[in-house]
Amino acid sequence: MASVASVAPSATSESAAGPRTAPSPRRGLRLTGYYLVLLIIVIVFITPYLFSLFAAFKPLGDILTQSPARPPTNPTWANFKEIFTQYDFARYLGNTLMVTVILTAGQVIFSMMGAYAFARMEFPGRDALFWVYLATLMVPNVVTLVPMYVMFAKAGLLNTYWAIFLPYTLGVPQAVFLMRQYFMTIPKEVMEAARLDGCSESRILWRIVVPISRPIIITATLLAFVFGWNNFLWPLIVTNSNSLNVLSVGTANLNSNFANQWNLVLAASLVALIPMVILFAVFQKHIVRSISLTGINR
Amino acid sequence: MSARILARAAAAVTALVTLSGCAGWGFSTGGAAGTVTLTYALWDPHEQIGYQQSIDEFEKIHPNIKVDIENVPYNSYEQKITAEFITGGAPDLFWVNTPWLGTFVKDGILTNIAPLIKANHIDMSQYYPQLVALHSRNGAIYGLPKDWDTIALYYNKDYFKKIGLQVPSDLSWSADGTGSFVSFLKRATTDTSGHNALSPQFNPGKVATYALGVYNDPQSGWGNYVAELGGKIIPYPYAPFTSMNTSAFQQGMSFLTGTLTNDHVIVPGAETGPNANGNNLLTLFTQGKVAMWEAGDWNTTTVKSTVSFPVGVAMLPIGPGGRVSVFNGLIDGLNSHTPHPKQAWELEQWLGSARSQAILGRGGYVWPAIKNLDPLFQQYWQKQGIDMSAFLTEAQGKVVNFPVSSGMGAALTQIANDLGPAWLGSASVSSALRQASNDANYALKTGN
Repeated sequence: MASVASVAPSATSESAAGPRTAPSPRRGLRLTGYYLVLLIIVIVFITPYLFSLFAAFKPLGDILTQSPARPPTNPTWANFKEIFTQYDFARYLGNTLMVTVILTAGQVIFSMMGAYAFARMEFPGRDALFWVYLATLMVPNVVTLVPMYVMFAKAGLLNTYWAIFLPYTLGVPQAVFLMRQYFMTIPKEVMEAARLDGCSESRILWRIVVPISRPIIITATLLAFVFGWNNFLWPLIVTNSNSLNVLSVGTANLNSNFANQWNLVLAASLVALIPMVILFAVFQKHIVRSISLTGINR
Repeated sequence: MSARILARAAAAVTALVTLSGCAGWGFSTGGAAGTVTLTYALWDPHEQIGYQQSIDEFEKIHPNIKVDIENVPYNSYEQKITAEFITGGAPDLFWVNTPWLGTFVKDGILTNIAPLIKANHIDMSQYYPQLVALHSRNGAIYGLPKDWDTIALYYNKDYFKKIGLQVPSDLSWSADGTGSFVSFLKRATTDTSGHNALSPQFNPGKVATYALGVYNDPQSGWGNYVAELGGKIIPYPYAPFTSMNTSAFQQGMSFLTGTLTNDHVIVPGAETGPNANGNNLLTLFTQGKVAMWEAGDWNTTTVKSTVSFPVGVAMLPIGPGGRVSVFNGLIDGLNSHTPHPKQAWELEQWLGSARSQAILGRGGYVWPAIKNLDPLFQQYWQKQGIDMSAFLTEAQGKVVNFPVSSGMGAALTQIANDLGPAWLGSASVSSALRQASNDANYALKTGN
């Protein structure tokens, strides 16, 4: 979801930075062309969001009979009221928030520890181990899905909160890689000096490395948070009870074979989207940088 | 990230965890004061609201039993329930739709509750007899009936008023295309310039409103026409093979995909959805492009909350063998491996009782399986402006039970897949039926 909003501002700011002096007519023409192309891209990206926004405020009948491009004639809050009064979305929101916070905190802290060890501690086989760990990035999620499910079933953790966040909480290769690369740029001498002064490894990590590495930690936090918030397939598979539903699963459950409640689905999607938009507005710079730093946008 | 921030984050997480309660953490099994939490699986988000009301009552009466609803979307329901039985943690009580009944029975995941019914002196004659029969086999009973359904025609009252046509209750059809039904449909189909299908100026390339929407479905669609010709998908309950190579199937299918389609009075198969599965029919009905939509009564809530015009319900047309609706109903399956059989049986009994069924009937969620509670449901919808008596009249008339056999879910999916080409006009009815029959026979023989 970050991709959508990020494309436009970063692209426009770059091209807008150029023309300070009065442009020649040819240049102006070229710029108009650029902007036109950019505008088309913006429209392509914005349209689905706009349609969902409109539809979230329409009754189901209007969604089915009217053009999706038409703004709601009698905007209604009924859809939002229904998902919170009839379908317990407050609980789903709470579940999502809790699971995402735990997942993010765990992932960032443990990845940090792992990255520090891989970057700046000496032990035999370190680099080999790192590359093996990193290689797990190459294995698609779906391959590990079934074995993971079996593991959780055997551990008796299916249909609990544990199952939703545990697999992502003890660090993930992406985050470890990201942080290791950053930690490598911190001069060795800084840590050696600390060691000479009798500083323990954990103190070095928390007192020296972490404060220097703020940007990358914020980046990893954002990536983890967005991932946790949007995660769908895994929570869908490991939980059954409605009381454990996260937003994404609760939203999908609104649509059954016999009741396609698009009005509620889109209202629920909007509810799920709002915190992400706020997050983006607040951390805009970091998110754009996180994409340029990592080249990953999950 | 200083220690202070960490401490704050930890505090926030603790607060969230406390708010979420203990149940989801797997700590409370058999915990405080012997409270048991049951899981109850269902698939309909509308009815879920009604069942939650009923369960709230149940929890008041049984303070030591908590019920957690598990809503599984219908299309993945059978697989999900089966998977949960394999990995453990299957729901204690779960909705069973009839296509899966035979397979669930074969797999041994349903408790035979006949002894419990006897021990608790439950009066089975309060339910529709065909509903009890639907879920019984050789003296075993696999659940107390909860509800029932029949198939009828929802129609757009505004449209019929506009074209000045009454919807009669005694339309009839026959396999050769004669009868009042076809001529009525012709009159009710109009093109963009307002000519109906009887008029010589009628332009079949520009139909504005089709009279009828029927889809490729053994229960809501063609099943009723075949039943009115005396056809059955399987010759008897739990038969391991089909009986589809009959003239009833040939004629019933040809009537819909040939006669009515060629007359342009029925929505062309391709427009009703992928493989003519009917996905688009509600939308077409809402848009006024279909005047009558053949569907089961469980759609009423959706219809009411979707369309902006007044809706009527007409009975199915009368076929050569009379008016026959496919009849179905749901039970709550009692997990044969549940760690809480006593509590699950309490819930089953409650949901089968008049008190619970009155809650669901009064709220307009389902037709109660207990015969004398049906007026509650009817009155609810009367107040909402929809007369539901067509469904009830059909239920009290001639019906054919939904086919039950091991592997029926897979067989019916196969049948719909194979009959699709006949609806889309890319295969003849006889070759589609042959294919469907072969594939369904295989599914029934393997029984999964």
